[in-house]
This record gives sequence, C-alpha cells and structure tokens, in this order.
Amino acid sequence: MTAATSQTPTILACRECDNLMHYPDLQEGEQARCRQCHHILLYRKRDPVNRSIAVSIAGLILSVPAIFLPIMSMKMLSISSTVSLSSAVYALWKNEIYFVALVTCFFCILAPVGKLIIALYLGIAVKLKRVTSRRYIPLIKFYQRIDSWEMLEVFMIGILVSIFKLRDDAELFFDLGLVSYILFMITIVGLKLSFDKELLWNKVPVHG
Amino acid sequence: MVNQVNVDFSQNGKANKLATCDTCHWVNVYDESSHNRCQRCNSRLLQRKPFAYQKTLALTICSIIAFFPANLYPIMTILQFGKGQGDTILSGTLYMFQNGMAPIAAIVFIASFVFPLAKMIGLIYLLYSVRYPAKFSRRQRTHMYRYIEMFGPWSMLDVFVVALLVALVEIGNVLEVVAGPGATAFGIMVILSIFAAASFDSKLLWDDGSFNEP
Ligand SMILES: [Zn+2]
Repeated sequence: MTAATSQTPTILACRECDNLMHYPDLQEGEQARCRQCHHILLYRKRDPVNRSIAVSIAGLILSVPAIFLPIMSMKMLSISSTVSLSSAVYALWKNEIYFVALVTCFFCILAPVGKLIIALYLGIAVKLKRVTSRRYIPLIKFYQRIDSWEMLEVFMIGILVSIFKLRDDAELFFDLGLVSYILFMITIVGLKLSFDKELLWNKVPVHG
Repeated sequence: MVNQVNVDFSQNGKANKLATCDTCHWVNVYDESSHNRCQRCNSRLLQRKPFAYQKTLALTICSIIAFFPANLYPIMTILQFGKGQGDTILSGTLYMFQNGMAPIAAIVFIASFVFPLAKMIGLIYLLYSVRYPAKFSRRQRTHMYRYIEMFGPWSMLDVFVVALLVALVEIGNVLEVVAGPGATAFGIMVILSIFAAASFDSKLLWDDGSFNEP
C-alpha cells in the first residue's frame, strides 16, 4: 500500500445501523441523514472554525464569574448566605458527601471548561493550519469523551427548582453570578452548534 | 484504504468486512483474524461493541438495584431549629405539589422518577427485542435508543438541587439543609444508567433478519 493521504472519506457508514453510503458532499449548513434509520450522520456547521474560536473565548471569560460569583443569596432573620457553583461543591465536600461533590464538580465545572479549552486550542490550530500533527488526535478524543458528561442545562433547572423549594422559608435574591452562569451556559450551547468534529477528523491525514 | 468499487451498498458494513471507527467514524477494512486499529486515529477497531448485550444487561440491572435506595432513602433533610424530617424524592415532590408548585413538581417528578424508570424499561425492552420478535419497527427502536441516551443527564436534576441547597442553607441553628444517603445512591443510579445506555449497540437491532426493511 502507498502512503496516500486522502483526507476526505469516500464512504460513510451509519453509526446507528451500519448502513453504507457514499460520502456526501455537503455545503455549510446542510445535513445528511441515514436512508435506513434516519439518524443525522453529518451536519456541516456554518463557519465552524471562526465561530467556535469566538464562542470558546467568550465562554472561558464567562466561566470565571459563572463559577465563583454567587448565583443566589438567601436572607432570613437578618442573616444572609450565598451560593456559587464552587461553594456548592465545597460545601458538599465539607459535609462528607464526596461522591456528589465530585460528580457536580466534574459535570458542571471541569467538563464544560475542558470542552471550551480544547475547542479554542483546536480552532486556533486549524486557523494556523497546523492540525496535521498527531498531537491533536488525543485532544479530539478527549473532547468526545467528556462531551456527554457536561450538564450545565440540568444545573440551570436545578437552580430554578431550589428557588421554588425555599420560597416559603426565606427571602431569596438573584445575584450577578446567575447572569454570568446563564451566559456561560449559552456559550456552551453555542459551542455545540459551531464545533465541527467531523471537519477536524477530516483534516487528519490517513496512511494506508 | 477501502476500495469503493468492491463495496456492495445494499449490504451493511459488517457484511462487507468493514468496520466503522467508534471514535472518528472512518470506515476501515476489518480483518477478523487480527487486532484491528483505525487507520486514521489508531483507536481500537470493532465491528460491534464487544459483549454489548451482556454489559448493557448487567449495568441496567445494577441501576435498577440502585433505584431502590435512591428513592427510599431521604435525599435531604431541611432542619428548622435542629428538627426536621428527611425528604425522599417522591415525598419532596408531593410536598411541592400540595403547596401550589405543580409545574416545578412535575418537572422534578418527570426528570428524577419517570425518566430513570422509562430508561430502564426501555433498555430492557431493547435487549429483549434483540433476541425476540418485537412490536416496534427497527427504526422506532433506534429512535427509542436515541431518546434514552439524550434524556439520561436530566435525572441528575435533584442531585444538583441538593448540592445548591446544602451550600446555601447554613444559617446558624435556625435553618440547615443536610444531604442524605439517597443523594449518593441517586447519583450512582444515574451514572450507572448512563453507562448502561452507552454500552448498548444499536447496530444489534439491525443485524438479524432481512436488511433494508422499510
Ligand atoms: Zn478512528
């Protein structure tokens, strides 16, 4: 075999049902579905590189206030207390609920921030046309691995539910952290809509 | 490199002796007699997830077992002046429902009780349908599997509520929220069920019988 480096695949197999197809030539914004099981196989995102760089810079900046600023505060009998994402993890750890503390820390802090860092790094690498290196493959793999463990939206609904739970017992206030948390969550959704893993994989040279 | 000319597109990948990389989705030639690695990303290459049926069954059973402590033990206790009763997920939901917070109660109930239960029943049904004839078509069952995977994380909702309340409510001796063992059991249950769904291989649904069924 020659050391050919065809980068765009010629053949496509459905990940859900193993149906074989010719690799479609899609324009940005188009998607391809499996003829057999209707799974969306490919989705070319619009302007993926620039958008994911922009979104991940914004997300990384917002992550600092979103994690450390108080999301809401409570007042009762002239004593007040606040909660932020980081203080919630810390309080759980202090109360010896280690498992829940670790899980919350991973799902709501480490996984989203990790995704943003990797997306930024890979976006810049593509921009500088240096994605051919084998070094980038572990990063894309790592991104895919933590992708399904990021749960910011669920935590957001959790904030709403806890507000309602305490509504009768105490006075509750929203804090600046909530605004940055919501914006942080929106950047993660934006990353989902702009980061194109398929495009990155297709830039990896194939030897064989 | 896969030669397109030799590929029979009316057959699936396995029948064409091909394997799709789970990581980067590159289609590789698969040689059954050796350990295969993806040409593009060097991940281990498999035509089907190994022991998908057994792993999914085992993990689903584990998460069903964890479902009981998760719902029977209190997930948190709200202490007022040092006194208070533990709330399980269901009793907490019931309390909210009775106190005029029906929409929020409904969200919590669906996310932390209906979804996990539906997920376990769904996975058991999918496993059953691999071995025995099933009522739903393959396409419907593939959709079912996709939804099971999609809704998995939402069951963490109540665990996050506990996390927030434990941190927020520590006001001297007046009011305090203590997390219960149910919270840990619940988190374990959710994570087990996410792993159970991830270990299932939807290609199993399409493997036997006639191909290209409508
Ligand atoms: Zn691969």
